[in-house]
Amino acid sequence: MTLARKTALVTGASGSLGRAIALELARQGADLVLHAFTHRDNAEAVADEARRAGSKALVVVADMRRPKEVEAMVQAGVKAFGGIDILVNNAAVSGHESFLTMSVEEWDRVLTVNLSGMFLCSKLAAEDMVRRHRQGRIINIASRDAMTGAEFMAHVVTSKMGVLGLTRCLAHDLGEYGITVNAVAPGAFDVPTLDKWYPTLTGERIAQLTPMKRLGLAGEIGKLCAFLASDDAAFITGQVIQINGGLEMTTS
Amino acid sequence: MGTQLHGRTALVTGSSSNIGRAIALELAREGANVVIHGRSRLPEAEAVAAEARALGVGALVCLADVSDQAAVRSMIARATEHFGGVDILLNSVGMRPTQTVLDASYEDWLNVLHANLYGAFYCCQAVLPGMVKRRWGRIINMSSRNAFTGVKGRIHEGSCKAAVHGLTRALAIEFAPYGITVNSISPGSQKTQRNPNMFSDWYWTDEDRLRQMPVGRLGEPWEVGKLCVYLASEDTGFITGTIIHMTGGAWGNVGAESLLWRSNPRGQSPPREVVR
Repeated sequence: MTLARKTALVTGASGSLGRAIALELARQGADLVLHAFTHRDNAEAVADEARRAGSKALVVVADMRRPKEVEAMVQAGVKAFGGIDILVNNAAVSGHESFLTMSVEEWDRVLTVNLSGMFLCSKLAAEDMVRRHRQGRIINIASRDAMTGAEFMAHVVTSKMGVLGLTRCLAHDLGEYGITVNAVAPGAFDVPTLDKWYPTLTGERIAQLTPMKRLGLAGEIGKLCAFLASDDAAFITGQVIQINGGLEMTTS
Repeated sequence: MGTQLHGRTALVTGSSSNIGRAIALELAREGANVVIHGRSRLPEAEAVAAEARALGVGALVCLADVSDQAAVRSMIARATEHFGGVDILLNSVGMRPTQTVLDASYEDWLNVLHANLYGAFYCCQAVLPGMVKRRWGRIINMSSRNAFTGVKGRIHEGSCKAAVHGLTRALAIEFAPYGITVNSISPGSQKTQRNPNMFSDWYWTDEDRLRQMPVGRLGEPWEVGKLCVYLASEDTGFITGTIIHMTGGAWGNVGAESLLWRSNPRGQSPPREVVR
C-alpha cells in the first residue's frame, strides 16, 4: 500500500486506460477523484470497484474546454479529500481528418482538451500541492503518435508532442517543490478503441511487429503510473517513459 | 548571391527582427522573393524588405496578428496575388514571456498558444492548398531547444515549441506524397537582440551557456538562415519530418548535464568568434 493516505485525481477515468490507472492507484491505497465528461456511468462503475478495494472515490463531471468546470472539479477533490497528491492527466480526445479540411473548431477542440486542459489541471493541482507542501506527482499520458507522427491526425499529434514539452517545463517549474512530472507514452494496447487508433492494422499484426510479440495490457500502464506516483520515484522527473513492448524499434 | 531559390516565394513569419529577419535575408540572397511579416512593427519590417530588395528580389511587407485566422488568410492572399503563390513557409513567430506554471494564468497560456501554435496552424493551412496544387513546397517550423530540455519559467513557450514539432511530424507524413517537405529547426543560444534578457534567467551565466556548447560561441542568426536555405532547396526532397538541432554541439535534448562532461568545469575554452 505505497499510496496510502494519498489522493489521486485521474482525468478521463471513464476510458479503459483511465480505469486501469485509477484502479491500480486504488489498489495501492489511494483515494480517487475520477473525472469523466461524456461517460459518467463508466466512471461511477470504476468508483464502485475502487470502493470495493477499500478506497474512497468521488466522480466529477467536467468539460475540459471550460476552465470554470475544471476549477470546480479540482476544488471538489480538495474539499472531499483535503487535497490532491497525485494527478494523472489522462483525458484526451482524438480525431481523424485531413489537415486541409480541418476546421478551426476541430483543431481547437483537440488542442484545448489535450493540451490546454492538461496545463490547467496541472496548474491547479500544483498550486494545491505547493500550498500544502506536498511533494506531489503529476503524470501525463502522451501517446505513440507524439513520437512517430500519424497520418490525418495533425491536431492530435501536435497536442501530444506538446504534452512532452509541457511535461518537461512543468518538471522545471515544480522541481524545487519536490513535485515530479513525467509523461507516459503508451504504444499499442489491448483496449476496445485499438481499431480506432490503428485503422489499417489488426491487433495480431501489431503484435507480430512488436518485439514482445503481444499487445500491452491496460493494467501495465496502471502499474507504471503507480510506480511513478510512489515515493520510490522521487528522483525521476521530466522524463518520457515509453511503454510499448519495444514497438518503436521496429523499422521497415 | 546565389540562385538556388530563384523564382520561389518565401513567407517568413516574425521576420521584422532577429532570427526571422536573418532567415528572410538569406533566402533573398539565394533569389527567393520574400514576404516580410511582423505583428505591428512596420518600420522594422520595411527596413528588412528594403534590404531584401537591395539583393535584387521582390519583397512585400505584411503586418498581421498570426493568432487571427482571417488576418493570416488575407496575408497569404496578398502574397499570392503579389508573387503568384507561397512556395516556402517559415513559421518563425515566437512569443516567449517569462512565467512559471504557478505565475501564468489560463489566459496567459492561451495567448501564447494562439500566437506560437495556432498561428503556425493557420499559416500552414493557408499555404498548403497552393503547394499541393503545384506539387512542391517547403515548410520549416522554428522549434526550440526549450522544447526538448524543458526550461524553467517558459511553460507556454516550451510546450508550444514541442507541439510545433508535432505539427511538423504530422504534416510531413500527410503531405509527403505531394513533394512537400516539413521540418523543424531547434536553434540553440543565438546572438540576437533579445539575448541580453534571456541571459538574465536564473540558471545560466553567459559563461555557463558557452561552456555547454563545444563550439564555444553563440550561434549567428545568419547561420540559421543558411540552414533554411538548404532545407528550402531542391536538394532536400528526402528530408522530411525531422528536426535539426542547431545548438553548437550542445546535445539537443540535454541541458545542464552537458556541463558535466567537461572534465575541467571552469576550464579554458575561450568564446570564439565566427568569421564569415
